Amino acid sequence: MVLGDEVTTKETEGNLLGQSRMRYWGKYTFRVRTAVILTLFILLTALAVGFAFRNVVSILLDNQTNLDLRDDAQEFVEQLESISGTISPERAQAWNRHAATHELHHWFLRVFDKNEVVVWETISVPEAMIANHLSNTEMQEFGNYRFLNRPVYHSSASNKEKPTGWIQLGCSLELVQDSLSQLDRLLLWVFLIVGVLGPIASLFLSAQLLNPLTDLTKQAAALSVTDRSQLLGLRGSGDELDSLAGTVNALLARVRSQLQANEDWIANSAHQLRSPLAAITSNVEVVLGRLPEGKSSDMLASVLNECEYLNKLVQQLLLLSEANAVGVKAKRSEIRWDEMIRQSSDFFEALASAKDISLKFDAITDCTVFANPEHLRIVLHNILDNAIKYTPPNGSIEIELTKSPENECTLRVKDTGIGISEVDLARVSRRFFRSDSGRDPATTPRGTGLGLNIVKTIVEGLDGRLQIDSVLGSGTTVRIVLPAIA
Amino acid sequence: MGINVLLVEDDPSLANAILEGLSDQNIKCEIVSTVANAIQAVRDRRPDAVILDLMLSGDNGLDVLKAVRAQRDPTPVLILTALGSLENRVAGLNEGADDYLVKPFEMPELIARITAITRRNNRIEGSTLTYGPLLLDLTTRRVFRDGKELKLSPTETSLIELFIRHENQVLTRKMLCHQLWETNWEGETNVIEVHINRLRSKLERGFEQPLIHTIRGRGYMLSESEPKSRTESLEPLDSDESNKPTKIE
Repeated sequence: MVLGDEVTTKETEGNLLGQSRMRYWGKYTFRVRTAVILTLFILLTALAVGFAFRNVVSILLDNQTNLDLRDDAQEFVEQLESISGTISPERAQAWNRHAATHELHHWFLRVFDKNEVVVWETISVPEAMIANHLSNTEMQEFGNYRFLNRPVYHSSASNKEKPTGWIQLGCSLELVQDSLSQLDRLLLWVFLIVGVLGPIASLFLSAQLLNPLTDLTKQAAALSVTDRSQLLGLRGSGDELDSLAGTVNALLARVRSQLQANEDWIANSAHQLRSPLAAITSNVEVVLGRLPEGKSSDMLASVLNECEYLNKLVQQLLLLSEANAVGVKAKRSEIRWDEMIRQSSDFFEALASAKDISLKFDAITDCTVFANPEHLRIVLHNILDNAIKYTPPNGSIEIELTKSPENECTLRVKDTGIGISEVDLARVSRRFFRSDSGRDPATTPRGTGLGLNIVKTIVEGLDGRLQIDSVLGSGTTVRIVLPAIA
Repeated sequence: MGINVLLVEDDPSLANAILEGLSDQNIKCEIVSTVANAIQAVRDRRPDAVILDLMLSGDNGLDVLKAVRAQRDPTPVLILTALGSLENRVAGLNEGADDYLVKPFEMPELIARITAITRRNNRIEGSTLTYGPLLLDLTTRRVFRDGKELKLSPTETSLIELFIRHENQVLTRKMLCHQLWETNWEGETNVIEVHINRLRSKLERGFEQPLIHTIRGRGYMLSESEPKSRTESLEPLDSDESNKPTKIE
């Protein structure tokens, strides 16, 4: 039965339904985008820091090893230069002890004669250690080992061109590599943890960052264009969001003053129309009163009819501008809406029974609202008037007034009338909209097409809602929701 | 009826229409167009009522009202205004106006209101209203015709009250609407026709004499006799020199 959207949505906000969905998605992806960027940033930073740290550690360890090896080489070259003949067992034992307790892992030392033949070596020398190219004094690597060669020139030797022997000393890199791979494992864990926590933290952070924006969007969505007191709140931080809110507020002010100018223009025009209209009407009425019945008087009567219609139009335009301005909220008092409806029930029953329509005032609950009684009568009259007008003979109209736990009064008028097409439903409360279907021009006075717009303006001015649901051919349900006074 | 009215209006077309319309009802009318002349005319001519347009070229009609009331002059004043907003109406009534009418108005309504405010001073409101065979008890809201009670709805009772208060006067749809609704809202259904028809059938069932008459193109009238046709009032008025306006400049 219920079709269509709230008239307000379709009406004033046009096709905002699509836009608001887009806006929602936009908001969503913006948050995700921020989170992704943040995550990438965190991960890349972690990666870079990890990489740099590992390299620094590796370089430091390398340098330390090389430095130690060079120092040792220097020391042993000096010792060997002062030794003549073979290496004593005491010295050999001391050197082996030195090798065993050396802080470098698997430290070893080999001593060669001038023919590059090994004369002594520590027991820690790895197997298959190469012994050629002793003249290369650069730091070299063999397997897992790092080593360097140094020439020895005996202090007694006369020829300083040719070395009298060589030493080779080195150490295993196993421990360094172990440390580095341990560090790698640690860094990997850190990276994994950052990889898991990063996105979560980013999502949370981006939500935090975007919270003020979300708030602003919510506020802006709830803004009424016509209520001058409604503005976006400034947080006083003077940041970009505050400046955005300020810009929106300034835009609102411009829109409002433009709207107000339009309404004032309408009101002024209507006022200007009244005096000449009064002169025309009065003159015609007097002449009509003096003419004998006949063609001329009929013609004048139709002039008078048109004047009456113009008068009604002017009246309603003024009412509309009054309702649009502060008027709706002025001259308000507490009104028992249920009593107003009950009091007018016989008035409408007479109208309905003239068309053989049954009018049911079902559940009329006690409801007090805060409104201008004249405006509220106009709303009630207009809605019931429409229901009766568009319901064919033998139809029925149900009127119900309920109060919700949220402290809202809802007037529901449900008819079995001709209904409103979906296309028209979006337009019914626009100014000057008239659907001529279903009205017999002979029996119904000409409408101005302003009725529902006035109702909508009044209801919304009272912080209420007008909702129309309809199915073409089977009936219309109009709901007017107003805040109740407890 | 012998009522003398002072019309303060600077729009000659409207002024003339009102003058003619009032003379058709045998109400004498004098036209002034400025505030100063109006104040002087009220003092000198002592009219039975003043019709006061608020928008006089360059002047505020309210000044006339203020001056008259400042002299403790109770002459009834009906304000005619193109400004229909609540504040404007209230402002006029606060200054001591007896009634207001928003432009554009209908002639019968103007006449009804003029007769009402000129009568108001010397009429004592009783607990019943009567017209011919009709009697309305204002306290119990019961209506009788020739002593026999009529079963009327509250809406119909309210209508008959308006009719009795304005016996032998044309009531327009707008006036009836206002009585029923306290607003000028007319709606688009034939509200008034429906209610008048129901009232009429209840009022006249079982009786010979019709009481509510339809005045074509204008409205309805409560009258024991058939209302005069338009042609009757045409002749004497046009030839009656005494009803011609005497303009003060």
